[in-house]
Amino acid sequence: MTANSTTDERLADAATGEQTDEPLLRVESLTTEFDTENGTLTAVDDVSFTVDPGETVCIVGESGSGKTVATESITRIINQPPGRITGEVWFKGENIAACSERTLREVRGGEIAHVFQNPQEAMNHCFTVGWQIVEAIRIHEDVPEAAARERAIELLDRVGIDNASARFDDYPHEFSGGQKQRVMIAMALATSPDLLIADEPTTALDVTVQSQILDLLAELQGEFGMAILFVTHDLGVVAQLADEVIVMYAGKVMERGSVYDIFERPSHPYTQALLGCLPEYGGAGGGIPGILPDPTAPPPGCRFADRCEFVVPDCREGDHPSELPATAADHTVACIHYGPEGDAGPIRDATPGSDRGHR
Amino acid sequence: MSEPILSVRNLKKHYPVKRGLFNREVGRVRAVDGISFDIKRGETLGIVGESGCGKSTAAASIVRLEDPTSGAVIFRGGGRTEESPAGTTRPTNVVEFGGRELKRFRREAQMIFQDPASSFNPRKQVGESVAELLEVHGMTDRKQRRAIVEDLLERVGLAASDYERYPHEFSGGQKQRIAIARALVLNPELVIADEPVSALDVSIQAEILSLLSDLQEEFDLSILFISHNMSVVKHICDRVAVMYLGKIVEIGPTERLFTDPRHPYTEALVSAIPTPDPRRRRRNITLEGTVPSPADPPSGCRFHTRCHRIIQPAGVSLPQDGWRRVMHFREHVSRGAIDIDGIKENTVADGSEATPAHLEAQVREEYGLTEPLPDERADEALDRAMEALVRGKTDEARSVLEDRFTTPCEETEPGFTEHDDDHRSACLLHSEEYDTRDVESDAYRTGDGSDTGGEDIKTDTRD
Amino acid sequence: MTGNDESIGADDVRATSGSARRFDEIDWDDYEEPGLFSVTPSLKITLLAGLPIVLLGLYDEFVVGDREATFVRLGSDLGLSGPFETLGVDFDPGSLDFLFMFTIVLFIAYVGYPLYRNGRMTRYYWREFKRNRPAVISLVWLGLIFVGGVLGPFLIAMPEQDLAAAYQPPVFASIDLVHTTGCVGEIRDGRCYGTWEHPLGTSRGGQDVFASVVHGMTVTMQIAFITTTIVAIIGITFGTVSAYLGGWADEIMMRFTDIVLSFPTFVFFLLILYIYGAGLGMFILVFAAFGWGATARYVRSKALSISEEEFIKAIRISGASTPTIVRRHVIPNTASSIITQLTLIVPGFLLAEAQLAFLGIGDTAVPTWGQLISAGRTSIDFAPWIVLAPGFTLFLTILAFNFLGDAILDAINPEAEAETDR
Repeated sequence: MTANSTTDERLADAATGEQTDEPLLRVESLTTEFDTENGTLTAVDDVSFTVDPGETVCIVGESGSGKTVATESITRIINQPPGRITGEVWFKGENIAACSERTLREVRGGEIAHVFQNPQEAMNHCFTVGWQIVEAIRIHEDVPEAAARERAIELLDRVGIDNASARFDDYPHEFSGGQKQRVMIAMALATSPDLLIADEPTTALDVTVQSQILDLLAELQGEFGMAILFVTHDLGVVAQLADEVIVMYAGKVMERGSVYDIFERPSHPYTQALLGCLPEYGGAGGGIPGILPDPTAPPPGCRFADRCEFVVPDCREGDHPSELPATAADHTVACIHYGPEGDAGPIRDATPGSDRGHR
Repeated sequence: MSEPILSVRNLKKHYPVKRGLFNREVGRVRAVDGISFDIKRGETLGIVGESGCGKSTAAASIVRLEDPTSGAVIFRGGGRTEESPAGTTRPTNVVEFGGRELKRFRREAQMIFQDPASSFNPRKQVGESVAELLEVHGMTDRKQRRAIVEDLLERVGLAASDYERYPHEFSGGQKQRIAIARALVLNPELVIADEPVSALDVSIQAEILSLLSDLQEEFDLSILFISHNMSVVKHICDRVAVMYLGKIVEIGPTERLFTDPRHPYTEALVSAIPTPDPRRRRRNITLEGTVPSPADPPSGCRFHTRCHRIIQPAGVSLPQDGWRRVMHFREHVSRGAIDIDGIKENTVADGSEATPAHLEAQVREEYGLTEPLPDERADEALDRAMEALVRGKTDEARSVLEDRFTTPCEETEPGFTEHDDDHRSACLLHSEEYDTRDVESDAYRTGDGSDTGGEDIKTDTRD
Repeated sequence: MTGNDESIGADDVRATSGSARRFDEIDWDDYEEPGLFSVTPSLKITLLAGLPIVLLGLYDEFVVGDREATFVRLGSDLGLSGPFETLGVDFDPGSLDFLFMFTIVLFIAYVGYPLYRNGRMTRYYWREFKRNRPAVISLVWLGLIFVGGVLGPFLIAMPEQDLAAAYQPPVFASIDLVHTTGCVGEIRDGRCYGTWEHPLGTSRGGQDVFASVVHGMTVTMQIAFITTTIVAIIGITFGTVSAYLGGWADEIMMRFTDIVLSFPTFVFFLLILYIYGAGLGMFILVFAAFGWGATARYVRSKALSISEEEFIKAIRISGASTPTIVRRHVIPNTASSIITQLTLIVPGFLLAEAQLAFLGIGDTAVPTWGQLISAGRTSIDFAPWIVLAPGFTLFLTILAFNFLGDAILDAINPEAEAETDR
């Protein structure tokens, strides 16, 4: 409907800009620690992943898994101190983990945009939403105000705000929760980012609104050609949206692979247990007994060992297991049972939902 | 035994909106506006709905945390004829309970709350928080209280020694277990669980839900389970009631309601559940906008402002999505939500005056009404309204639109239609007047936008 | 702040036998409705320790003559003059002293005892509190002032006039002989040197400054404890009642609070002073009676926000009565803010007292720090210690109260803690 020159340009950009093999985003051994009164808390522990142009990668995990901190560490929007971020973040061939705060500010909100869980807190309530979008555009691009204004209205309309040209002058409190999230998305898209980091953008919303927002994101991704790094705890949302999935637990990556690998051939006992909690996968099996390990003093060996039903003494020794291939080349799992001496058979047999066959 | 343990009849809870120096009542927020349902012994009834639909207010009104505006809540049926001390028949209507009866009722209906973080007094040992209920009801023996609570803590999967710990020493899931213990300690027959797992991680949710159903079985509890999470409700409830803006729109056995939703709202809710199956990325029914304010609910069927199956008046036949857009536009015009001056100001970039044609194009684009409507008379009415609107004659635009596009849904409040055993829904599509009528294409279900091939809405009542 | 029931050890529980152990085996028809009043341990302490003080106070007021010392009269009335005399019990406490003692009992019952009872929670608070160094030092300082104020008068006699020893310098300091009438210590090069007899020197009247400062501690502590108690009782009652009644009652009570808040207490006190004279008791009464406005408002808003919490809903649905809920759940949870609020208004009272004394309209019968500062101002150029000693003590005390208030708020804020812990 609103297809116009700007959109086309963006598509062209996306097409020409990243034709190399280099992924859009490559995170290498990212570690984020916080100094607390009880010691050093390792929220993200040596995590690596890549995001290709136009791809949707979902980081899924429960609270305390470090998924949010991991994404916030990418553009270093974590306060340092108390935070401490190490590792490399290669974005379009540049290590933004090493660059200056000034350069980073240009990337942040420009080429990498964020959408947060709570739009309430992410907006400035003293200004109209239109003004805020115009501002977002003009921080990163030198365009006259009138042009920015036109683009802002276009964006508002595009994200599904009715009567966008009039609502341009409304203040954030005049929008409902779902509309606010739409406005946040419009704001994020204002600078036509190459990567959109969406941190639980639908968690605070009702289910009907959630599905509206997910549909919108999928549509916009097709239109703008951006990559999405989506953080969520909701496996249903992951299944609807993701191309690639990263399963995190206690600051570590437990399993990664395509969305089909994860849902149809879940290989890590944690992934299996997580899926097993879903009513659709056999349901109330009693959840996962036990609690997260203490993030200030993680136990040796596998972080999940204490709650794992396939635990063997070796699980509790050494470092967290390294990622090993599971069912496909790009489907890896951090579990010693998949190593040369392990036997993954029993785990494979326990795949939740396997008895039902594939739908 | 077939008698319901709890019958709610036409329960209403309105909050007055007061303004001015003398607190004059200027309106009412109809949080709960006439709901009726029964809960049978040992049954789990779910109430689902989006935030603001009144489900939590309903729960609070049932247990008299809030005093209902009107209606009846009959606990343990009319068969209860126990003599009260005064020699009169004890009332069974919770709404009329006096202090002593209410306190007695407290022993029989307890509640579990949503937020584990705030559901315990942070300065009290959790055991004391649970034991306090026993004390309130007259158990003076401290040791006995402690023994009972310790036993109960073990039953909900904690240790007796947890009695002395403080709330901040527990995780969310553990606190919710203690909350369950607190709800059970008076040995109630009915437990009302208000979003008991919404604040928990999925792995913990499953634990708490299975604990709840184990305890239900062991102690023959009836549960009123309130949630916004459709998939949780689907797996724990025997029957489900769907609420929208203070009213129940559909109620029925869980299985039937999920597989064959008869109210468009239920249909939309069910379709919106994200399925954890990457191969079934289906197109959802998209509901326009958000829930209207309960202070000023839409007339007729409250869902008509968002419904994807809204009925067209006689003489209009448009494809459903076009019709929906027209109605949406009409609603905004009626509300005066379209600010022509604002549009004028914002659309013209170079400072020149916006022409009416320009404005009309802008409005049409924003409401998705750029193409002419297939129905000539409808299109003509829309054109007239547009023209009036851009010339600033909002009233004229409103009357033109209201004249032409008035749906029966906003004029008639639908009653309940029985579908089969215990499955009822309140939608005009099921009333006799409309059930033979052809409704235009079911575009959302088939997934394509084509406007032909009208498919009948299933309206037959199976036997 | 309110007491809970005594907890009992697990062993005791195991030892009990008989009646139902399982919640679903209880026959509730066996249980009586509990009475309206329950005697909490805190109330017991108050009654046991407070009642004698109250009785003694009344005895002092109505039986003992103006010129008699209370305990001497008590000794003769009880026929215990002999033992009293040998023990040296010849004190003559005034009504303010009785009130002071009574408030200390209240503090023990409603702050000390609950802290002792919930030992684990107290240790937890203490750990949190300890992180704040200045606050710990403040606490030690206030502890010294308290001990000095309570025990000081028994150990150190009231400073007396001694014109022969006017303007004695503190130890390690000296003063030109020109200013002094005599010198207690060593005289060298025409200067009088300080001695340990008067560690902080003496004033113009030859009163020992140290003794005056110690006796000033008593007054300070009396002001702190008595005003705090009065303000807390009125403020908490007013605030919670207003919050729970709601509607018109709330409206009227809060407008009354506004009046109290905007009341020109100082002017009113001047008026009282010209009519009835300026006793310290009157000062405390007037300032406390008009000082609770902010506390009441604070308590009200806190009580309103706490009653929205789910645990209040949970206890309401258990069938507990509103007064019980307020007493057991709402007030203890407003405690952190009330205590903070109170520790922050005490400095205001102390300063007000000092200001009045400085202006010469304070109670001349009691040796307050303000009096001393006022007395020393004329000789500040050659005998600065008369002003500096009480001045610094006052300054540090006020600073300590402020530090303490902040630290307490941080330490006993369980909401904030719960978030970071998990």
